[in-house]
Amino acid sequence: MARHSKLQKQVLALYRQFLRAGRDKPGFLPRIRDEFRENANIKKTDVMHIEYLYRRAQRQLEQLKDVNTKQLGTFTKGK
Amino acid sequence: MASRALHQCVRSLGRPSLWLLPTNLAVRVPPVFAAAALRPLSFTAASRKTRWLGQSYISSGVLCRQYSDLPPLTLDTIKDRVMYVLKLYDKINPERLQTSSHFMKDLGLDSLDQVEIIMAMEDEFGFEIPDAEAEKLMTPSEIVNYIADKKDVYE
Repeated sequence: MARHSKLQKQVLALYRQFLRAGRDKPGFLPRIRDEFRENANIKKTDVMHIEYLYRRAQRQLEQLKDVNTKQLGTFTKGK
Repeated sequence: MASRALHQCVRSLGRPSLWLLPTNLAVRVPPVFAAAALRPLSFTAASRKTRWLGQSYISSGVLCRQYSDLPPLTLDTIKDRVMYVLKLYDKINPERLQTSSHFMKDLGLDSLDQVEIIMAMEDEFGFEIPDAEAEKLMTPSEIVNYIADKKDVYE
């Protein structure tokens, strides 16, 4: 892909903001990277889905930046 | 924090020499101290501390302190640092990395990885790269040229 579309640029800018915000708080970075990586293979034409995820991400970014958020942990199912 | 360190330096000199200091010293300690404090994870943090060259008597016989800034950037050091950071990135195969290797075509990375790489470069060199220009930097040599351009390094 030679040039990014407007939407792609917005997504990349959002990714940057997430990485910057999640740098100092433990546990967020792997989650951010996985989430973006997983959704990276949505078709470019599926704009509704992309915009929905984008709005959701903006809200989550606000939550991340909130001073009261300290860290993120996950539970995994062990055997 | 910087003022406390300065205070300790001043106290360690002993009282009498204080009065000999000329009043128009150019002290460039505070901004470098702040930069060093904020970036403990960068591998060059150790080399970023100011070096106190010690007291020296200038020709008029007055005692003065000298502080130095970071060592001047050269194209070679920029290139070495850029390649070092790229080698540390886990998605890049260090053997296949050269200065002309394109991130997407040769190394098989995607745009999200490119954003991460540019952010690592921002952390390494300590200045922000705006999004519009960041998305155009696709090879290590382009990054080196961009940084040299921004930092006024020429050879």
